[in-house]
Amino acid sequence: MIRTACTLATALLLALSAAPAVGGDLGDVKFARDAPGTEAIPPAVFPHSMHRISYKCAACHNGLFEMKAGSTKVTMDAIQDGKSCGTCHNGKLAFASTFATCARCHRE
Amino acid sequence: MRPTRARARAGKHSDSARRALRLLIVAASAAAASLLVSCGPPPALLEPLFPEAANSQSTTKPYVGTARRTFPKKTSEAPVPLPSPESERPDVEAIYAALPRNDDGQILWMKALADKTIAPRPGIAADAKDEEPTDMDVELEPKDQPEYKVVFSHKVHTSWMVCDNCHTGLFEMEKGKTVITMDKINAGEACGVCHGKVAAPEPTSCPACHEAMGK
Repeated sequence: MIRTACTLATALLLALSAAPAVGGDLGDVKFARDAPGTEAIPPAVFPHSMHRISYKCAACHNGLFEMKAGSTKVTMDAIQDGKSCGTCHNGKLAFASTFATCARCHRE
Repeated sequence: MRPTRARARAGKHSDSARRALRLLIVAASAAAASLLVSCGPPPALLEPLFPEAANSQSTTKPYVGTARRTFPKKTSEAPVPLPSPESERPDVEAIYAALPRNDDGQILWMKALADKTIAPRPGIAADAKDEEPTDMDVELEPKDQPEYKVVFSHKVHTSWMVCDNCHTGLFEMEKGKTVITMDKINAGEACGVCHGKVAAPEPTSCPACHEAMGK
C-alpha cells in the first residue's frame, strides 16, 4: 500500500518535472529494469551523444562502465552513493539525482 | 480614573507640591523641545515651516566617536557570485543543437572533433591527460578481393578511446589473428560492438570502410 503510494507520488513528480528535448540518437541506451514496484516510473535513457560532447569514450569505458550495454549494473542506490552515474551526477560535475531531476533520465 | 504613581505620590502631599510637580513637567518638556531644535537643521518634512533654517549653514559638528555595536556595512553592489562548476560548464544543449549531421541525421563525430564544435575531455578527473593518438593504419584485405579492402585508422579510433578498450578483449594485437567478417559485424560482434550501436562510420554506407566500393 505504502509502496504503491510512493510509486504514484514519484510518477506524479516525474510527470511534473520537465525533460530536455534530447535523444533519438545512435547509442541511446534504455535501461531495462526488473525491480518490483517500479512499473509506474519510465525507464532511464542514457543519451550517449550528450555525454560524447563533453567526454571521450575512454573517460567512462571501461573504468566506470563496461562497453556492453547492461553488463554493468546501474542502481539508484549506487548513484546516491556517488558511484556509477553518481560519480559525475552529484551536483558538482553534473546535475545531481534528486526528485527535481528524475525526468531528466527517466523519460521514456 | 486610575491614579498614576506620580499622582498617587502627589496626592499624599499638599496642593503646593502638586503644583510644583506640574511646573517641573512643563519645564522639562520645554527644555527637551529646545534641545531638539538646536541639535541641527530641521528634517526635510519640516523645511516648509523653517525655510531660513534649511538655507543657513549648520554650525553643529557631526558626532565623531565609536559606535558601541558594529553593524555590517550596507553596500549597493550585488554580491559577487562564487565561481561554481555549473557556471563554468559549456552549454551542452546548445552544442548538441550545433553538432554536424549527415543526411540521415547521424552525428558526424569526427567532423565535430576536427572543427572543434566539441572538445571532449579524456577523463572525469580534473587533471585527466589525453593519450597521444596512435598513428597507425592497418590494411585489412580479404583474400583475392581487393575491392573489399578496409583501411583501419588507429588515429581516428584513439582520438576517442585507449588501447585497452579494444585490446585484447575484442581484437588481438596481432594483425589477422582476430577474424573479422561482415556477418560478425552485423551480429554485433567485432567492429559491430560499436558500429551500428553507438558509432556510425562516417560517411555511412559501405564506402565508409570499403573505400574502393565508392569509386
